Amino acid sequence: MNIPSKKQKTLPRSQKKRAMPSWFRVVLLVLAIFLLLVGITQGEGVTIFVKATHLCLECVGIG
Amino acid sequence: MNQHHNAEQQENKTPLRVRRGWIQAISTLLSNIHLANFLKGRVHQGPLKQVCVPGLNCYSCPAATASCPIGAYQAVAGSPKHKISFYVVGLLSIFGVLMGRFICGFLCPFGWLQDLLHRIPLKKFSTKKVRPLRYIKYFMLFFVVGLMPILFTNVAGMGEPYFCKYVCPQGVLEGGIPLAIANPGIRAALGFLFSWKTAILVAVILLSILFYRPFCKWLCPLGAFYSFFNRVSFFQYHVDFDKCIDCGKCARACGMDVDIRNNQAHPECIRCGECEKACPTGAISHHFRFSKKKTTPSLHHDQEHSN
Repeated sequence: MNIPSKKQKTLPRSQKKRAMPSWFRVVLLVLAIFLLLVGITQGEGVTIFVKATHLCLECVGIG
Repeated sequence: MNQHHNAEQQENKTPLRVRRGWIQAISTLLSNIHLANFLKGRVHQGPLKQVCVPGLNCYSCPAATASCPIGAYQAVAGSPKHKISFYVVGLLSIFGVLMGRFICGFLCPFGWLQDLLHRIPLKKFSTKKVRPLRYIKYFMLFFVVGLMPILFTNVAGMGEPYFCKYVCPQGVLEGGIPLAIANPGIRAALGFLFSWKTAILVAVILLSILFYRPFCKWLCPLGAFYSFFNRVSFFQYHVDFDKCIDCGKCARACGMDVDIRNNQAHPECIRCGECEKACPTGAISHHFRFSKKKTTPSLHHDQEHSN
């Protein structure tokens, strides 16, 4: 039987490395949505639409 | 005890891992839903082209449903009006925070192609000795995709999509070759650049047969971007150190050269689940959640990591 030691209560290095508070994820998500909205208001969607609906000569190897 | 372990392992084999090939196939189909355009030899022009798919999928593919995020970023950064695409960074960050490199493992059409090529029964080689090559993809992300369209512009202030033009093999595979077959006008316009990009495509195909996902490991700027989100994404892997017997099967099963026991959110981990499948004790699991599960690591691992 494993008797919990004082040492066991601390996370090993590997688990500490991956530990990330949930609020941080939510903050990042909100920030990402904010960036997306900024991009939309600046008309980036239109620029992408124009590029993507015409043949991208560079992409297909024409130049 | 063994039965208990087997049952647990069976449960832990996760339908997600088992269905990965199907998910990849469906994702590829959804990313390229307008298949009839292959015969017409022209690019789809629907409103969804304003949106980016999460994986690498050329928007000049005749069947493409939406836009390629790397192409879209360069289109915006290369335009005279903008220098950074907040739209693409924001959209990719949303994908990244939700899934991290799960996108590479499950949703990217070019990743799926490399997976299929690697199944060809020929001798396979490890990439562990060439690990530093993985940093090339960060160079691709920050310099080739991020900076070059801003730094090298023409007289009108427009930058070219340098990654798409000189590196990306997906454009030739999905766009150049099918369009050249269906459209004589495009076929007549092909020259040195097409030959160069075809050579890269052939090299990636050959390397994919011999090595696991060489493009994802070494060149893909999208994989580099998502790698920053593996630590923060809602989709996470978990190792139960009470169950782990340190057999190392997970590390040997990993095609991306990751030892999940050391880092469950490694930037190279594409969340494919091979380690989860290989684990004989069911110690590895994945979860998608908003709150972090509390874990009690075993004394065995505690001692090992303190050494």
